[in-house]
Amino acid sequence: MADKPLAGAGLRGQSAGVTALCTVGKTGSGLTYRGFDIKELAEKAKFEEVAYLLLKGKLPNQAELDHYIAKLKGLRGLPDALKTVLEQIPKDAHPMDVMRTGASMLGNLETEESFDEQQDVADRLLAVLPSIICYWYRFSHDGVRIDTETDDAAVGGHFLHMLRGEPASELHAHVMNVSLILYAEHEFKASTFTARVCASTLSDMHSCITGAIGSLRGPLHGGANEAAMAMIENWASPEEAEREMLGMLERKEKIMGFGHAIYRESDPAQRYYQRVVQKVS
Amino acid sequence: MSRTRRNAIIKEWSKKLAEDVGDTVLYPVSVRCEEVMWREKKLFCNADFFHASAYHFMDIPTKLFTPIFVMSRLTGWAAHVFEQRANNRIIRPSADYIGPEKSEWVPIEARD
Repeated sequence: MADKPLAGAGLRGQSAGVTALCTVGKTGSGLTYRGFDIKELAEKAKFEEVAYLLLKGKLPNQAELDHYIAKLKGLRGLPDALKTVLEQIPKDAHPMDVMRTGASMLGNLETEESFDEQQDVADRLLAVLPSIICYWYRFSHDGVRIDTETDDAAVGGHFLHMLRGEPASELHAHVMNVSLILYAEHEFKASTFTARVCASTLSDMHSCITGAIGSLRGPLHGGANEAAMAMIENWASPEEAEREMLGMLERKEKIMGFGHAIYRESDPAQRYYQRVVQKVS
Repeated sequence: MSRTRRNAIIKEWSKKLAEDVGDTVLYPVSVRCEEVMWREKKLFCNADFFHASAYHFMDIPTKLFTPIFVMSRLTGWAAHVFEQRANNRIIRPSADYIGPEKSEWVPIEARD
């Protein structure tokens, strides 16, 4: 028998554990990763620095960061067996299925035998996931077998380089760096909770990550930026956008990219206005 | 509010990319969407919204947007796995039963 009934469906508003990683739910602090403000990280940090912060528990000094970047750079290669698997996946496959299969196949080839290996397994996944998606994409779409070991130090620039076959501009590499920092961590989102549930059975890292990718695949979680793109690319002018959006609102269609489930910290003004709007409509 | 701040950061970069590629459509359309949603529903856009135009300006195919999310969130996922392992108890909530009362077994030939 349950100890107490839940306040609402979908575990809204329920604390499901403790974390020292990020402050989505802590009132008054904005979004921080291990106490560091997201805005400051996005302005000043390298994504690899933020990865180090999240995975190792502290900001690296210069020597540690240089070493970490070099380590990740050395882990970008794909085993032949994984390349063979990726080459079997059709062009029209869902790219998230490719990511899921890639992470899972890597678990067969480089199984985490003990939790003592967890840091190395995480670093390997971090380094190789861009290789997995780009290798499949370029092979299935362009018929080329790319070299996944570029000279780029940063993950973001490396990804763009593999995708286009030429080094990215400084601006593009920088925006990718910012974007990767912004998406790095967001508390108990469905995908993260999936990973933790899987981890709680003492399963291996590849299973936790494969499961998390499966949860992120759903349209209510990942995919919001894709849905936003599919919407805005239809419109040729701000006027058309406004007309169409008002129509969507009138028809009560869901508009992706605005608001989302947030458990504790939401803007009081927004909640107030939403109540007013609900009463009026 | 966290999601608003992430949005403000990527919006600024989307604007820079729009200037860089000489866009006169997608960025203004995005800004208008943001204005309309605020005016009509008092809703802010989340971190995803201006990522759409930013990625598009960098010629990233739309279907690769979510895999980029994976490349980044891997760090958060793995850090949470470490955290769970460091202080673990199997996650096993309970459920409120809403199914039928105890039913009598019916032999297969006697079923509807």
